[in-house]
This record gives sequence, C-alpha cells and structure tokens, in this order.
Amino acid sequence: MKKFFEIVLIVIVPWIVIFWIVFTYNGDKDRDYYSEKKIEIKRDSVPVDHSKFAVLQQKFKTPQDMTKACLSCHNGRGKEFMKTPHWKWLQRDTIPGRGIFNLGKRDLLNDFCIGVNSNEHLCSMCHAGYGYGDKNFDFHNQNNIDCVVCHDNTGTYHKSNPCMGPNLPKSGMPALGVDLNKVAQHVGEPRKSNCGQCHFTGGGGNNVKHGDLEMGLLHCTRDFDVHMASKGKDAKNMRCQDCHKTENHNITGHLYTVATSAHNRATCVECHTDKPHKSKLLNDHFKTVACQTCHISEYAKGFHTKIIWDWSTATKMDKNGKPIFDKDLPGNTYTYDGKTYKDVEIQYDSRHGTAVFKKGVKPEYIWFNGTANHHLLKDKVADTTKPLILNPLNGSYKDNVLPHDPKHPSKIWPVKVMRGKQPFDPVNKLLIQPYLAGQIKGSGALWADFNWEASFEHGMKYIGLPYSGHYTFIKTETIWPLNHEVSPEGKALQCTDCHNAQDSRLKNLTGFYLPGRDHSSLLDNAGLIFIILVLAGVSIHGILRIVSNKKNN
Amino acid sequence: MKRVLIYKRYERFWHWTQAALILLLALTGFEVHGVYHLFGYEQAVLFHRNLAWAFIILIVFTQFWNVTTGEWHQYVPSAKLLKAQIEYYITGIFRHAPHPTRKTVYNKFNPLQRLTYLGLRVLIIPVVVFSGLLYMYYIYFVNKGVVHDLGPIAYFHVAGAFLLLGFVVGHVYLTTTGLKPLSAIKAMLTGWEEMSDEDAEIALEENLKVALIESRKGISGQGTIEKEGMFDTAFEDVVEKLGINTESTRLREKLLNSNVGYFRINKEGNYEEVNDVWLSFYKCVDKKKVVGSHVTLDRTPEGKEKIMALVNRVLSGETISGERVQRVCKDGSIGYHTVSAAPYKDEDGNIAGLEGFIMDITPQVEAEQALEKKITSGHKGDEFYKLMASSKDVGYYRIGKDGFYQDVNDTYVKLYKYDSKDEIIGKHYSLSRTKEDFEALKKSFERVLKGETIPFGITRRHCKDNSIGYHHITMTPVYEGDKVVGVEGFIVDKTDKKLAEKELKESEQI
Repeated sequence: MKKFFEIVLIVIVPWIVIFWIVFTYNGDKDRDYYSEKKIEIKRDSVPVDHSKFAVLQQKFKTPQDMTKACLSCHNGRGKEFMKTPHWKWLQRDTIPGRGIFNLGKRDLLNDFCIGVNSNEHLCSMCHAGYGYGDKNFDFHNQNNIDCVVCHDNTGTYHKSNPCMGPNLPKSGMPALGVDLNKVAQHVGEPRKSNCGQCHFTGGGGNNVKHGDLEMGLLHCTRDFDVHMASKGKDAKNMRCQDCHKTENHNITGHLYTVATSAHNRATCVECHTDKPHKSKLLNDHFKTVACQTCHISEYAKGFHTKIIWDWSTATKMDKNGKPIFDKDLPGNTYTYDGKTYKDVEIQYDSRHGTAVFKKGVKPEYIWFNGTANHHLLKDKVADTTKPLILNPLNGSYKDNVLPHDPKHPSKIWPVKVMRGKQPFDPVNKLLIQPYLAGQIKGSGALWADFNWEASFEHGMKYIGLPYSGHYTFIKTETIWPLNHEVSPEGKALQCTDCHNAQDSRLKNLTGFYLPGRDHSSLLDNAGLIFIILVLAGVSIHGILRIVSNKKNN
Repeated sequence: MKRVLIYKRYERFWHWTQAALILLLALTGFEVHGVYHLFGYEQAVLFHRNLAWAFIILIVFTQFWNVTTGEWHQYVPSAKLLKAQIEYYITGIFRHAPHPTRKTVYNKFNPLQRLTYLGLRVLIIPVVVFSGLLYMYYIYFVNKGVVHDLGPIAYFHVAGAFLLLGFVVGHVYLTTTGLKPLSAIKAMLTGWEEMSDEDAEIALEENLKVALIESRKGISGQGTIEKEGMFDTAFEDVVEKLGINTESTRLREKLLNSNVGYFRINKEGNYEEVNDVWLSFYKCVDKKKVVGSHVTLDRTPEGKEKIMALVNRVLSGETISGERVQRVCKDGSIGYHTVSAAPYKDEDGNIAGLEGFIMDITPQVEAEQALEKKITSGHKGDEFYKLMASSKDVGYYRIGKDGFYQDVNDTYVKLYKYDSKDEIIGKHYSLSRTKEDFEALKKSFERVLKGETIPFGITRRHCKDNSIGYHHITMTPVYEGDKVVGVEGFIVDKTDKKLAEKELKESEQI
C-alpha cells in the first residue's frame, strides 16, 4: 500500500500537475492585444438640409446645371475633385524599376472588356462626370463633374446605360427620368449603394469583375462581410468610407489592377493594429501573411464572378447567322489552360466570346510586397508561350526574409486571378485595343459588325499604335488582391487549411518551408524505415528469446 | 528472487515525467508535421510548445540533480564489458547466459546503456531542443540575416524526433530483458528491482559497501559531510541515497529481506530480531533460539569484550560502522564480519536499543590470519598454503626475486581471466598491470624484497582480456633461510571500479 502511494506521489501526481499545466496554460497571449471592441468608427455629421437651399429649387435642365449649383456653395471642391482618379481615370504612380507613370483605366488594358479607349461612351457610365464620350473630353471643366452619383441619398439617381437601347443617353449622362431636383435636394455622404453602382457591377454586371464586391454587400450578414453587414446580430453596417477614409475627395485605397505602389492605402491595421488576436502566434503570422489571407476564405459569396473570359470565340453566329446573346452553355466544368474548373457556369455571347463564372470561389495565393508592374499599351510581349500577366504583383518569399523595403516585406495575399484570351498582334507584338461598344452597323464596332479586323483597326488607330492586320489570341491574366467579404473569426481559415500536407491552400507557393505542409520525403522515409527496422529488430529479438526459452524449458 | 533498491525517488519522478513528455511531444509533434489530425493543429502547436518548455525545465532540474548528487558519473561511458554487453544481447540472452553486468544503485547502467544515454544527452536531445527553440523563435530572426528558411531547422528537429522515437521503441523492448519481463518497469516504478538471489546479494552488498565507505569518510571528516553531527548525518545521507527511509520504515524492513545480515538488539543486549542472512552467517536455522539471547553468547572471550564495548558505544548514542568482529557460529566455527550499527529510539526519543547490519569477510580474515601465522611462525607450516590452494574467494600468488611468477591458485587465474595457471606461471609480473600501474607495483615489489610486509592495499589489475579489475592485495616476502627470494600474498577481489577507487583512497590514507 505504501509502495502504491509512493508511486502515486512520484509518478501520478507529477503527471497530473505537469499535464494539467501543459494542457491548460496558455502561453500564447499577446500582451499588446488590441481588442476590436476598442475600435471607434468616427463619422462627420451633415447638419444641413439641402432641400431648403434656394439654389436647389430651380429646375435643372442639364445635369451640368445641377453641378454648377452644387459648386456655387461647395466652391473649390470641383478643382479638388478634378485631381482624383475618379475623375481623371489616371494617377501618377511609380512602377518600381521603370519609373513614374500616369496610370489608370484610361490607358491600361485588362482581360475583361480590354480597354476604355474608343469605348468611352459606354465605359463612362461609371465615370464621375458627364460627357466623357471620347479621348477629347475636357477634363478641366468642373461643371462636368457628376457630384450626385456619389452623393445622392435618394437612391433614385443612376446613369444611363447605352447598351439598353439605341437612343439612350451615353457618355455618363443620367438615365432618362431621373428627377435631378429631388436628387440635388437630398444629397449627403455617399452610401454603400452609391459606391456599389459602379464598384459592384464593373465588367458588365453584378460582381463580374472584383469577385469580392457585389450587390449582396448592401444587405448581408456578418458571415458575408463583417464590416458591411446590415442584417443579424452585431451588424455594424459600415459604409465604404469608414475604411476608405476620405479627405478632400481623396479616397484611400486603389486596387493594384490600376495602381502600382503602396501609398494612400486603406489597410486593416489602421483600425485593428497589427495585434488584433489574443494569440501571439496568430499575430506573428502577420509578418508573412496578410490579414485578408485568413479572413477572406472565400469570395463571390453571393453572386457568381467571372473567372475566365475567352474572347477568341466571339463573333460566332447561330445557325441562322444571327448573333447569340448571353446564352448559358450546358455543363458545369470548364477546362482552360490544362486546369479544370468545377461548379462553374458557362455563358456564350457572340459579342464577348465564352465566359466562365463561379460562385463561392477559393482565392489563389501569392507573395506580394505592395508594389506592382503593369503591361502598358506600348509594351511588347516577348514570350507568348506563358500567360501574360497584365499586372504582375511584385513579391516573393525571399522578399520577406531579405526585404528591400523593411516596411513593406512580402506577405502572402489572397487574390482572384482573372484568366482570359485576348487579341494580340503577333507581328507588332502588341496587345490589341479593340473597338467594341457601338450599335451602328458599319462603324467597325465589334458588337455591331462582329468583325475583328475592323474592330482592331479602329481601336489601334484610335490609340495611335500600329496594327499589322494579323491577329491571334493570347492567354492573359490579371491579379485582383481581395479585400472585401471579410469573414468573421469563426469563418476564417483554420490552421490546417494551409498547414496541411495533403491539400494546403498554399500548395502552389513554393520555395520556403511551411510546417505541416512541407516535409523532406527522403528524411521522412528514412525515419519511417528506421522505426520499422527498430520494430522489426526488437520483434525478431523477442521472438528468438521466446523460442529459445521454450527450447530451454 | 530478491529485490534491491536501484532507483531513487527523483530518478523515478524524472524518468516517468520525461517518458510521458517525450511521448506527448512525439504525438503533438507529428501532428504539426502533418502526419495525422488529433488535437487540432493549433492545439497541437500550443501543447507542443508547453510540453517543450516542461521538457526543458525538467532537463535543467535533472542536470542540476545529476551534477550535485554526482550521479553524472553514471553516464560516463565505459568500454569495460561493453563488448560483453553487446555479445550478451546478440547471443548470450538466447543461451540464458548471465547478465555480464549487475545493477546497483551506484552503477545502474550497463556499458551499452551508458553509451546510449550519453548519446541521448549530448547529441540527440540537444539537437532536438536547440532546433526546437530555433523553430519556435524562427519568425523573430528570419529577416535578421542569419537563417532564411525554416527547412534545415525543421529537418534537424524531425530527424531528432525519429531517433528519439526509435530509442523509445528499443528502450521499451529492452525493459523486458530483466529477470522477468516486467521487472525493469516495476523497478522504475517502485525503485526496487527484482533480481536473482545471487545478483541481489552482490548488488545489495555493493550498495551497502559504498554506503559504509561514504559514512566512514563522514566520520573521519574526509567526506563532504561536516564533523558536526558526524555519523548521524553521514549515515542518514547514505541511507537516503540508498532510498532507505529510516524515519518511517526502519532499516530493518529493508534489510530483513536482503542478503545483508540484519540485527536488532534491545537495551539489555538481547537480540530482538535478526534476518535470514544473519542466521546463515551464524549457521543457525532456528530464529527463535536467537531472539532473546544475549549478544555475547556467540563470541569468543575476546569477542565478548569487544562486542560489549561496541554495544555500549552505540547505546550511548554513537553510531559505528565497519567494525570488524568475530562470531562463533552454531557449529562452533569462527567467522568474521564487519558490523555497522546505530541506536534506535522509542517514541519518546530515548535510546531503546541498537540495530544494524553485518557483512561477512571471513575468507579475507582467514587468509590474513593464516598469512600472519605463517609470518610469526617464521615462515613454517603450510596451513596458509593449504588455505590458498583451496580458497574460492582468495587468490594466491608467488613471484620469484627475478619477478617471474612461480605459483598462482585457481582463484587468481580466474580473477585475471586466464584459462589456466600455465598462462601465468613463468611470466613476468608486469603482465598483471597496465603500463601506468606497473611502476607502483614495482616499488612495492622492491620494498617487499627488502623484507617489508605490505598488509593491505588496493590495486588495479590488468586482466587477460585487457579489462581492469580491482582487488585488495597483501604482499609478504618469501624467505629461504634469511634471504628474501620472492614475494607472495593473496588478493581479494573488489568487483566494482568505483568502489575500488574509493577504497583505494581509503587504504592510502590508512
């Protein structure tokens, strides 16, 4: 009995004590933990009732009249606004290693509708101005600013979409039937729906372009987006500018599909600091992992986003020689560039070619240091064997361990990769700017004539670049860092989503050792063989002992 | 089958805690490595870290314990019997050959274990711990320009983990090679290892010998123990090391089952308790006849005086150790033993009697006496030679003036691990020593040739298989007329190296 107590005291009690400590002690607390409860959302109040202003009582004949009225009080704001990319569709930005450029929608190509040039009268339905119909638009006339597209609080203002009918206003003019006086008398700070008009529907429809910006954000739960949630418990119903802090119409944040450097950004740490978790281990991840990586586990949560756009199939007609519009193709898998995409929707349109949509997409992941390059209009494509990345984001694992810019080391980011095939001039080695949007037959617009040659000739002439008359389609990609549709704690990625040997989200990011994902097969096999040999050795030894015992007995 | 105390309390605590830590570290570690899902990755990581810190703290404590208690000596590798141990596991174990080494509290590990544990301590565990710390804090120095990839750190850590796991498998298997399959595990739990009677006797004797030497040192003020309190402290220290808790269990309980003669005597000098070993020393069968009889009953007249003097010393509060006394066995023969005893107290703290243990040294004493007799009788009579020729415990040798062996007995041959006398006789005595030890023997040899007698000493011998042994040696001159023509004497083996070293020091001081 005494012996038993001694064993209990020497072995069992220490086990209980030590393992109780080991399994309950949490040594992983970050002392500088900054609770999200401490975050305050500060908003300016607008104590003015615009419906009382005499200047807004006059009947506005043109939207420009309305802008004039706005600027009569908000003087100076026009000049201020005309410096911003929302107006200029350009901004000065530095491409590391290449220099300073004016970059923006106006002269960058993408793999959605390819480019603005020659298509301005359509594209400008998302321009915060009136009358941007071609390259000769006067960017210095402040009366052309569309104030209300952002500041309308009635929800009744919207711009005309010229695709909807042949005689509708073009070039960013208001839609027919908008009561400008009502709108002008009810202006205020932009609402989500104001921003969303353009930013949710870029690329021609809800969520087509970004994947993480969709109409669903207007009425969603926290699971959909923790910040913008307006339904359910703890919904903060935050507005865009709560994060995209704005001063003098300079709105922070601009996506790397048009920007190249890390200035004027809206970041998570501004509110959350870099110690938002109680766990130090998790906070340490911030050295190599962006917040978005774990907290945007999935995008296009509500509505399909376009992931592939193959322009090369455009211009095909149906049996009757008529163009096909927005036809859903059968099947839910699509193979592109050797990879099969499952659970997708495929659409065909003679104007656009083949488009592939997907809902609830898992992001792809890249190393990204906050700077990007861009394929500029005049850049020649040297290598057409690999997909051409139109906005290569800079960064690598090495850039993290040996940062050139210690403030902006590379981190792992979640991105939407948009893939496509778009027109290319193999003689001049240039990507082609096509003339797409037009409804007049014989104008050369692809969507009227369904003739690539004419479209290309017109488009290239418009931007003043040569076109050889030969064309092909090359694979291109654009990279869209994800920032929205942030998941709450419980829906964020879990450790084993990445730290997993079988199916790591980061399986394509190589060149560094990731615990749980990586192992040396040589070492593991050697170790396994070693253990097996030891087991075999002791088994054989044990059997021989048993056998010899029997013999001796 | 008997049981001998081998593992101390701290060791047992440490061993089982470490065992559990290593297994849980492996369990959580291989989950982090991506082999399976068990605790959940985050929990596995956090547990692994906590376990790692517990492991590191335990290592620090244990190394401190090892250093302060001198237990680190047990990890010093020894080539002695290493081959024998390996051969035992490869072939001997299947033939039921005896274990080549014996476990004692002062020499717990066989040479193979020493080597393995040393390898663990200086190589595998440091690699695992160091790479683990680097792994843990990698994120803080990764962009400080030293290490740019976790890979190599992780590979070292994983390799160490595999080696440790392999060790655990082998280690657990080898626990089954004790007297019974579960003997070793039981021993690690209780501290007491089951051994064959033979092994247990030797082990316990070794344990107690060391205990005595330590206590002697304490008494003479040469040990680390301060003179104040003298033997009490020393003895307690020793029994403490042996794991004998005098307060709660009394020495008696441990010794009653041991192979050391135990006795307890009351204030009047009457035996209250003796154990079987005591009875066997006295060649008694019936314990009842002994209990109640007086301590002076089994003595020669001189013995009576001496024993009473000792008893009185102890009853006055002193503690004695290693006193050489005589006994008269039931068959009338005379035996010799050393006696160690301490007073025991009743509940009020008054001395109620004494208790202690005895260890037989009859063969050695008989040899000493025979030799003495031979010397005093002017080297006449062959009683000594008769004894030497037949003794199974004492080795006899005679070396000529020229330094060549003239005669040895079988025990001597056995102790030197030769196969027959012929391999020694005719050879120079330098074969009995290593080069380093030869000079000392040569000096002694020359002294004896001048007529001196060296009655007692401890020396190292160089055996046939190049192993080293230790023994008591007595050297006397051989006369032919008045002339010294050679050297003769006897040796009594002291098996354990560490013990021998200590006794060697003792004998030098004597």
